[in-house]
Amino acid sequence: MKNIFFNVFSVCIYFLISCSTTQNVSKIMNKIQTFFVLKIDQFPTAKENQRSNKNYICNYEIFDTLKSNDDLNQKIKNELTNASNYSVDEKKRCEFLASYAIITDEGLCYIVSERPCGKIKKFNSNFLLIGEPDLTNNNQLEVLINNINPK
Amino acid sequence: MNNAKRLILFLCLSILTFTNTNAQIFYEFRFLNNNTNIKGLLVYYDADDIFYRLSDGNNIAQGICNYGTVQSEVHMFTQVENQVSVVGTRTNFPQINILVNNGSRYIVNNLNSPNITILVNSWREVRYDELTPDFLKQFFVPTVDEEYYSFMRLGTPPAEPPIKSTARMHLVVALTNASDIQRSVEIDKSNVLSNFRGIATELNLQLIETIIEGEGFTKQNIENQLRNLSINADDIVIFIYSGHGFRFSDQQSDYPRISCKREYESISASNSLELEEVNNLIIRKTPRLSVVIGDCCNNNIGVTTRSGFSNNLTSRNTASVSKKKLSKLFLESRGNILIAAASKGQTSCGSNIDGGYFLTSFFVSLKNELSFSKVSDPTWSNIVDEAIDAALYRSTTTNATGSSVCGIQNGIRSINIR
Repeated sequence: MKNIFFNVFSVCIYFLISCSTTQNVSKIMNKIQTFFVLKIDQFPTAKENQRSNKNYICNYEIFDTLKSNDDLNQKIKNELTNASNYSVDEKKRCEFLASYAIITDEGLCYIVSERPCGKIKKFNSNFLLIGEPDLTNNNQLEVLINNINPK
Repeated sequence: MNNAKRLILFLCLSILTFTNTNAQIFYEFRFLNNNTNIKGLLVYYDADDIFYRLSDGNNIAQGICNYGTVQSEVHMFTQVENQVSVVGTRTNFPQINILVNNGSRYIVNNLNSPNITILVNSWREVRYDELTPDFLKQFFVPTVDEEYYSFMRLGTPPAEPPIKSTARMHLVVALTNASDIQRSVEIDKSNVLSNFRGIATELNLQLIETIIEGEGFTKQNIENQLRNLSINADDIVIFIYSGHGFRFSDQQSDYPRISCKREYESISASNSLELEEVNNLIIRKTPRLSVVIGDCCNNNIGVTTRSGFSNNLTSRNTASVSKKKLSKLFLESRGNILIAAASKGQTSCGSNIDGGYFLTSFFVSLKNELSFSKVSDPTWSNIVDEAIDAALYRSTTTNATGSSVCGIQNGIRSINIR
């Protein structure tokens, strides 16, 4: 029952996020105290091609919500802001293939491309791209995500 | 890996960005140590080979250093061997570690006491024409140092007759418009254009440039531009790609695909182009010489062609190189060369400081091979293999830190030159 409520709640929130204006989304994100890790499509879908019966985050179709726990979520949050996980000067010349979206309770959206092409796209609460660093080889972010969703 | 070992290559190539690449790069610097004016000369050959000389007017000492970074913005030359006194008896030259930080340069005495710094009074690149006997004698002893004579040759290159040729050089440069690597790609564009313009000028060749970028960077446009090249029998075609690359899990070619995917497109065969197919398109035009380089990744994206989604020595001054050697490489060579920056399954890297690892290494290697100070004749094999080795070394070294983003990149090549 709890799982059903969580999934319905999650879907509602995602629907609101994908359909709301940026200002409304920003308000919604500020109120959300929950931290999400989502399984998403590899490539973004342009707004004009997005279907009403699907959910999107930062233009990436959402496939699933990954169930995590508070402890793991906190660790992921810490690693998202850990500068040693990123490089802005050295970049791999491979295509970004999205795997996950991480939505933080500050309203930020991180789209993760995993190794061998480890990269991040970071969006602010208005879903504007504000950074796209590469992930370092020893980044802990992928390790933690894999704990949620082991391959 | 200790800090000294970490400091390899990155600053080497940072140096190259300050100055535009040359075969060797010379820097003169000065500082005051215990009321003594000391002059230094730093000589950069390549990532593995950097040494300096210090002189107080009576004593000369030599040391070897490595490159590295302390923080992302601070680059350092670190002395890795005790100074060797070449002449004189002075033994108390300071251990020099040059920090380069936002254009300021400092020398610290001791890595353990970074607060003790000596400001470098001056730091400048030395032009080859300044390598006169009087200049060199400050740092080298003619009776002792071979470098004295080889560097002097750089300063006074032998007279060479002008080159006459009817060959034309077609330079086709394809550049991704992906935002995440835009900076390093722009640097590659600048390096490619400045180097080949310089070569064409030295050889009196007509240079025909085609730059494929921005909205024009599409598979169809690349194919059309190559098909529309008008090639004479003696012409040279240079094709350089800087950008994203990949491979399908079922593709036969060892060489990567050029990704022309737009932001909202999926990767597919319809918006990508095999580097080997680019090479074939050019060879079919029967130029005398062609060189095709792809500085991009070659990693397996885990989908097959079918399952792919259906609906995407930069120096302008080439006076330091031998015209005779340039001529041998570009006017007397016949055949084709195909190079990719990474082998099957590997990624390749680019830097916002100096561009693609491979392309940067390629131009350094080219200049080294063409230098007056190198006695042997230049060969494309030497240039390409040394470039691949240098890029591999750089990727290996940075990869080993763990804090790097780069995997090992071991380029592949096919050289058919007669």
